[in-house]
Amino acid sequence: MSMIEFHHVSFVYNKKDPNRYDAINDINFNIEENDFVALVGKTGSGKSTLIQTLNGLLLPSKGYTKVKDFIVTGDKEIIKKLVKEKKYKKTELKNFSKLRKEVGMVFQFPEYQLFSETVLKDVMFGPKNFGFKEKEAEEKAKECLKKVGLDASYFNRSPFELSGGEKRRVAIAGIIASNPSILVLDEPTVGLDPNGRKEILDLVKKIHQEGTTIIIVTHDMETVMNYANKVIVLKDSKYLGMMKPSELFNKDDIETYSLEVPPFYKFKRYLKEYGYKKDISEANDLASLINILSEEK
Amino acid sequence: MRSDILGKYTPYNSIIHRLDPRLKFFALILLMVIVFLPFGNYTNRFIVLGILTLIIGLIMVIGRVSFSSFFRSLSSLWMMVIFLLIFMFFIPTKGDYPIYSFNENYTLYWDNLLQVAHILVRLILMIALTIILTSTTLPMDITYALDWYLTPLKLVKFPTQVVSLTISLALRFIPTLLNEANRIMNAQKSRGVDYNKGFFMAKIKSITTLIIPLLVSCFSRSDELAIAMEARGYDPYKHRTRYKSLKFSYKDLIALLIIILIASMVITFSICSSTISGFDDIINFIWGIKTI
Ligand SMILES: Nc1ncnc2c1ncn2[C@@H]1O[C@H](COP(=O)(O)OP(=O)(O)O)[C@@H](O)[C@H]1O
Ligand SMILES: [Mg+2]
Repeated sequence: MSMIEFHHVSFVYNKKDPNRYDAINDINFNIEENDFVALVGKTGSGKSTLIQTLNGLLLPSKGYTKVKDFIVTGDKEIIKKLVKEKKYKKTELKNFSKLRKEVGMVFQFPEYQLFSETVLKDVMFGPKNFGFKEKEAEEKAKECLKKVGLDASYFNRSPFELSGGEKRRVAIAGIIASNPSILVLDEPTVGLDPNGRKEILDLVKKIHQEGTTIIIVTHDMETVMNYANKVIVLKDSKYLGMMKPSELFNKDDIETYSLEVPPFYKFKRYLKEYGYKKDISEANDLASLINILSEEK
Repeated sequence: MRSDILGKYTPYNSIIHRLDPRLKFFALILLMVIVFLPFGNYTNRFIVLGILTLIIGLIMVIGRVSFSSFFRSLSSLWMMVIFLLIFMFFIPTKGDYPIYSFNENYTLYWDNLLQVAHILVRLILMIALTIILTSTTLPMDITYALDWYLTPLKLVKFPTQVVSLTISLALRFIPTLLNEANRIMNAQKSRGVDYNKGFFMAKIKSITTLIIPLLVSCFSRSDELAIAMEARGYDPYKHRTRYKSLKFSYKDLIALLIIILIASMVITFSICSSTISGFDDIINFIWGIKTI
């Protein structure tokens, strides 16, 4: 059984309205435990919509999303069927509090969720909601603040007086403090400078290495290339496929995916176009490419 | 929070949508006044209100106003109902039809219940009228209409542009704020906040997690907006032209005539009803003319 399964997931905004919009359409794929998955696609392709079905913020209009043993769906037929087969109770299909503990969700500009008087209190908020004891929550919060690179001198400061990057790290600490087994990030590095971006991504990598499954929505193909082990492409509300990042960037028809190719793969492409004969499709990092090139002569 | 909030503009292309916003604004005020006119006894009141309900319902159908969102918005009236019922229970007024007599100076009358119903019906009609206006008219057009009605105040040097700018900015930012609120709520829900559960204190606490971030983002937004407007040389006291000028067409004229006709009939009836004691008298009156 996979960690996450999408079964024919569709979602429609404003169902009974002239503004009706099919944001995602018949999505099917699985994500395994401890994957580091990048979700890419043009703006408006439905990425944010899809990930919001992971913790029940949006309920699929058709099909269902399965996370571990939890089922998220707004499809009446499926609910009826599951209840009839006595696999789930109706209340279980409507209460997402346990699921939300398992799935940490970092939205774009997560700093907008801060509201407490002190940094420490804000980070403790999530764990306390999910049933951690006061002491436990405090321990966990301190641990996570250290993990995101904020030392004890930050604990009692107001989150509103921090810099943009620091606020964002507090917000992320507030999410990983609940100990989720899946961390979903929706364009977490938007609006940060390259340094800030790298800090956040390295943090995510660390969290991944500690055994958390990661799903990250991004427009930055460098991130995909350097961090993810799988990439999923959405286009016009549809699923185009899941593959290794190198596999995606080596595709000859990558233009049809409307994605920006990282400079490294652009370079490989130029080599081919200028008539370089040797097979370089296996070279997926700079070192191995240089190796092949220097074997020449 | 639901995205289909009360009275959100819905982009259909009905005849109501195409009417001049100034006319719609005028009709809204006129009909609201009419709904609150006195009509003598309860029979009269409910007959007139019934007719007005039919007319307003018809306009809602023509304007394709969502009935489901309308009825959902009414569900918040139950607080009002309870308040009115308590009020009526403790301060009962005299009436003709007693329900129950507790002792000689404390009696409940059916009349009080009718009174509560009367207040409610008028409130509901008012809500319906407002929803018709807002769901068939773009916020910007409502501001234009308001601006137009404020024009005479320019003679006394009243800064009408500032007022209409304030209103249009407020209207312009409602959807933005709702979006923002939705985003913040999603983030907090992901952190385990349940906005539907809990009682008084828990509710207040969960609302805090929304309000504080919302205020923070509001202030930073208003700063940005002020700077952006200044940078583009906006001066509220300069004369402004409009991108879209309003045209009063024959359709609007017909609609205006219909509204005035309805209004004058209702007003006449209201005046008559204070001198004659109800439909019975009118029927007798008409009968009298016939027999002559
Ligand atoms: N709350 C909403 N109401 C109506 N339409 C929406 C809403 N949220 C998103 N959409 C529409 O759904 C489509 C997909 O949006 P989204 O999932 O946010 O895409 P992405 O994250 O890939 O940019 C977009 O065209 C957007 O306009
Ligand atoms: Mg998005």
